[in-house]
Amino acid sequence: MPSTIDIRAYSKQLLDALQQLDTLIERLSRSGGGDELADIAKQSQAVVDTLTTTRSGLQAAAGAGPTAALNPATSRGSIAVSVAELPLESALQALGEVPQLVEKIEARSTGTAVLLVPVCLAYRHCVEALGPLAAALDPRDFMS
Amino acid sequence: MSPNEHDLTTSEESALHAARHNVALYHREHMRFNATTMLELAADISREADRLKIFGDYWQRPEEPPRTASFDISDPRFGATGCSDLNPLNAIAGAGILFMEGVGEPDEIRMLKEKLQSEGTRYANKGQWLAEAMRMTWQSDVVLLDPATPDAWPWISIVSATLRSAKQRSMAGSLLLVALEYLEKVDFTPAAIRANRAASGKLLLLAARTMDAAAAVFSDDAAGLRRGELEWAEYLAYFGEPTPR
Repeated sequence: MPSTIDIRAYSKQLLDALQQLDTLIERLSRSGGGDELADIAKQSQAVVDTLTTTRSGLQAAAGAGPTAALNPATSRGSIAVSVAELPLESALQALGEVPQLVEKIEARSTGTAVLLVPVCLAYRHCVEALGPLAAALDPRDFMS
Repeated sequence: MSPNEHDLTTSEESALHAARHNVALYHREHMRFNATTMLELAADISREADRLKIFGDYWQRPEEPPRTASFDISDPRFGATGCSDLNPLNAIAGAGILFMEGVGEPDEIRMLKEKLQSEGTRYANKGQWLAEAMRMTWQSDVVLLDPATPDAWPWISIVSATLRSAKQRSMAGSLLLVALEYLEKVDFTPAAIRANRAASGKLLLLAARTMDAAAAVFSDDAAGLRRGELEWAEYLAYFGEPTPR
């Protein structure tokens, strides 16, 4: 059963990924390519690593999915992690295209605008994943 | 490449382009229908959950004194009498569920279980099917995510969102089946509820909250599909379809 502490940890990982994606969006909106491309690909891979870890954690916490648990807190946490995981496959799928796109851009010497598509998609899906986790944070669990 | 091979390639590309145009045209309309259906389903499931909450809450409160004299419930003539300790009188008209002394599980509960079973199974399976279809579509169409085809990029966003949508539908269906599991744990005969009044009420509330979660996922799915309207319009413009903006 995921605890409130676990849920907060997954939320923080998603927030980190969002921060990294926001930095990437900022860079891509200014970048003309060239020397920056390798660094952009590296930064994108770092987000993939973060999201892969987060997704694995959520999947492990969700187990086989929500069950008819008799403890309301268990039921709530289990549903939250299961629902939060849903958009992350799409986020990782989109970011998985970045290396090939970088190769295409380098080979053809074109602009980097196309990279904004997977990066913005990943951003969108991370925000979607954050919602169910944020809703499951119970302030009473943080009171000593 | 021979001239014939070149013609074949051009013809294949043309057929593929026409197929993508067709998919965009017809599936945008289908998406609109699905988005509304998800909202209707979310509303319906929310209402059903609220019906259960009325009884779940009531059974967890101290019993109220009976409103009428007691009956000999072993007498079949009194079988249709309402269970004064199990039915919150003022809520029956809204909730539409009535526990009667001689009837056992109310028909409305049986119908709700059937709905949870059929809709849960339907969306769990349909969502999985759609998710697999979207993974295949991504494989075949990610070629459109190319620096040379910016007008086709919205399709990549649509496929990505539809994969998420498919998984949401499957999850919402699974949640309906979990809600059913809770209800299956309750013996809805009046005698059994009287023997386990608070525990039965708790199970009803757990089922209702799981249905609330399913409704929230259906609703999120609908909202996500609706937010994609502009991307569909932009992608259709790639095929020369008029795009009101």
